[in-house]
Amino acid sequence: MQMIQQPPSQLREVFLIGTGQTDFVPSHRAEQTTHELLYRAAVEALNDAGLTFADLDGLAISSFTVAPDHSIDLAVRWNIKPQWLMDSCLGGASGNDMIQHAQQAISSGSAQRILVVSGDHFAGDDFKDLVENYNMSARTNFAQMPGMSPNTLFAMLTSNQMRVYGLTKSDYGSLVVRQRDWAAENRHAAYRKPLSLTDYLSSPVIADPLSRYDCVPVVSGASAIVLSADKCAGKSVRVLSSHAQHNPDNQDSDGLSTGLAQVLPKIWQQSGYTIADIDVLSVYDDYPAIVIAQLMDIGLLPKVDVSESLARLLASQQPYINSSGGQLSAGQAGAGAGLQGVVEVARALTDQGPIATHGSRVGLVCGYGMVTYRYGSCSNATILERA
Amino acid sequence: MMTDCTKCHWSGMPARETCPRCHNSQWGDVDALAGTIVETTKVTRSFGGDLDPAQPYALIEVKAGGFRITHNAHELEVGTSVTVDQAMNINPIKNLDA
Repeated sequence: MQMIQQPPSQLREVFLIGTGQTDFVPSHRAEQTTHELLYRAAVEALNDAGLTFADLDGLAISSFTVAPDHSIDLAVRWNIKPQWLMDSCLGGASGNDMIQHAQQAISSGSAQRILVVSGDHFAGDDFKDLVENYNMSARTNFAQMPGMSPNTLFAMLTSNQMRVYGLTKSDYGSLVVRQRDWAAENRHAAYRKPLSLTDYLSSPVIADPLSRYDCVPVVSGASAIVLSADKCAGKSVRVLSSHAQHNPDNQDSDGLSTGLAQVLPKIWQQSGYTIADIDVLSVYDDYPAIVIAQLMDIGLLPKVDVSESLARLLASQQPYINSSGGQLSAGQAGAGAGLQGVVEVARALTDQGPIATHGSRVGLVCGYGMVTYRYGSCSNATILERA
Repeated sequence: MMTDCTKCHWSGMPARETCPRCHNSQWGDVDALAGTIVETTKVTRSFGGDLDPAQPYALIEVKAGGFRITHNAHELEVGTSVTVDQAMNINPIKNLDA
């Protein structure tokens, strides 16, 4: 059957005009509920944009612990009358997932101003329950395995990556230590105290070869952004392109590459930029091995002489990578982790990030997540430009 | 219960309705699978608590296709040829040439 392609219609530009973020607090010390965290981040993003809940006609949320509530429940609690609603369940890929869909909604005229908010608070055994019941695969395959968690899975993936590319613990440590340096400038980060390579190498083993600082710390917190068809003078970021590639290999590969390699050609084609134009880059960092996998997919890290190339890349600061400290230092606020990188890059592009990143013009945010057996099955990316 | 694709014998996880290799949708029961250990780890700490004893795990590449994660009670090394039984225990396959 011959398919007749429609000519592209006139689409509206989309702007990110406000950001909000709570402090990230280790879950055992956190005092606020998920609903309180989401509300605080939402209010801060709206204040940043000069808007109120009454100005919104769209809402997207992502949270593991907001259950049994959904976006419509928050719309009622917050007095929003939405014409567009979304609940994303894609964990570390949820931030870009919500942006990808919200961008299309605003471009096509389904909505004018959308609040995107995500975060989590884990009380008691909430996090253990989440891991054990993450999906049917986890529930049926891993429930009877003592000590089984994402750390176990990514320990084996990291071992393989070390063997394939000749990497050592110090290579991963250099990445973790560099991110901790960035975290010192992030007032929301859970862990800001300087970390040396010696500290990293001498930390307790969790699941060999992973030690404490390789495993993303679980925290409570929330992030929010406001997307709009209207530009906000002086502090807007243009959403140029957002794409996804999920389940690229049916979980039947080694997990050392992600769907990002298939996403980026679309991003570059649609935006007119290349990786050489990216000033600030957020790479999803639940584990250092996944940062390295994505840097390879992006084309910043060649697959030969990886150790030396990684050292050169980190030293060059071209681009600035995970300039909020990433999740490895700021903490992983459950599904909220998917939006943390978006806030990081948006703030860098509006001179609200670390001083070194001021003046940055173009940023890329990479999402990754949803372990369906051995590694994440979701990948996506959004490119943002100072407007 | 352990199953494989009745057509190409792919037998990985997670469970699925359609074989990712040949797209067959018929699955049959198998008593054991042959494979090779491709990764191992030993978990010493989990959910904020120490594990005593530490728990060893292995990733098995199934000879007929697919991957399975199992407990590695005998702490077998990467490269060891093994069988996986229905209880997901692994045992080394003795090298008859040795």
